[in-house]
Amino acid sequence: MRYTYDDFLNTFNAPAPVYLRFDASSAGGSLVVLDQGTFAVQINVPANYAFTSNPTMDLLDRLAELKTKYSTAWLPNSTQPNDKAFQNAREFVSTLPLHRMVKPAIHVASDGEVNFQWSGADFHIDLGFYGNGKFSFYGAKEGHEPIIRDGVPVKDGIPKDLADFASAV
Amino acid sequence: MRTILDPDHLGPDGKLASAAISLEDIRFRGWSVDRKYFTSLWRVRLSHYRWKKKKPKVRNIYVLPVPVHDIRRPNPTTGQPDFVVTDTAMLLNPAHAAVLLSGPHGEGAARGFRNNLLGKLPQYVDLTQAFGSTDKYGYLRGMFKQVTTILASPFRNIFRSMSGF
Repeated sequence: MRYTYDDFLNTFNAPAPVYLRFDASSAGGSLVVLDQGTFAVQINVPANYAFTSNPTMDLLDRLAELKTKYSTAWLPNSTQPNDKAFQNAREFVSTLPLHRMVKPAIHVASDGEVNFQWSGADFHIDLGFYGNGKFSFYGAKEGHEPIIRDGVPVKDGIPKDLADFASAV
Repeated sequence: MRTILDPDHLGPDGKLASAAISLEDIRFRGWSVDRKYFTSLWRVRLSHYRWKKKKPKVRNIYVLPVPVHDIRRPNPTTGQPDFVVTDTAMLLNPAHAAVLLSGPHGEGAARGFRNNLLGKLPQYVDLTQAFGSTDKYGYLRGMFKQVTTILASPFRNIFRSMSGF
């Protein structure tokens, strides 16, 4: 599981120096920590080291992080999201055409919704899951009519016209 | 103002995520806010203190000023306001109010309204920035209002029964 920067700070919440090892076998083993301050750790990385990103894995990691965080109620009078809502969100992530659309931000609302939000200069998409195997959404883009739908089966994935709103290409 | 915000919903640009306002709240329960006129800095600090005890990982707590006149302003297309703000004062929280959609809407449509609402909200601020020196007696004012309302209620019932309503 990937951790947030806050987790990192909490883990090393000590005045003593923290020694880190950046393990990168593809770059020939451990790399040297150049400098470390309160907010940044600088590492010397060879020019030929390839940083790879996997947007699907990033989103699944984010869902796992949220599931742990919201295992207890966060706000007063709030409802925790159920397992089914996270399951639906994971299934949905696997259907997203992330090669041609930007990555959404994922949050949990106080009524137990697992919410996906895409925001750009000229578009906004708000889509969410409550764990009933369906999702609803609202999408708006400058120069287009808003798209609103309720009760879309998770297995159908994101509609093409909505995905086009958040197109990255 | 909205006095309790989930830190996960706070954007680095001062904006809130869509999830900061739940659909259940704006469609059915009412999105809880406190009217600044009937609360005080110390009262909000007390509720933050209680919340922080339950969530010790929370480092900073911000509040969100909610411009009620903008929320009540009619939608230029329909001529009707999309939201209503109602007095939902509680015994020890006279400032409590709720923001609700003015009519029934499905989930998808409610998402559109909540994003319009979020667009009307200013950036979240530190609690001390939300209160001025003239807001000192807000809670006292609110409790006075509560007491007068409670005391007046039997008389209101008597007048109602006398007038036949």
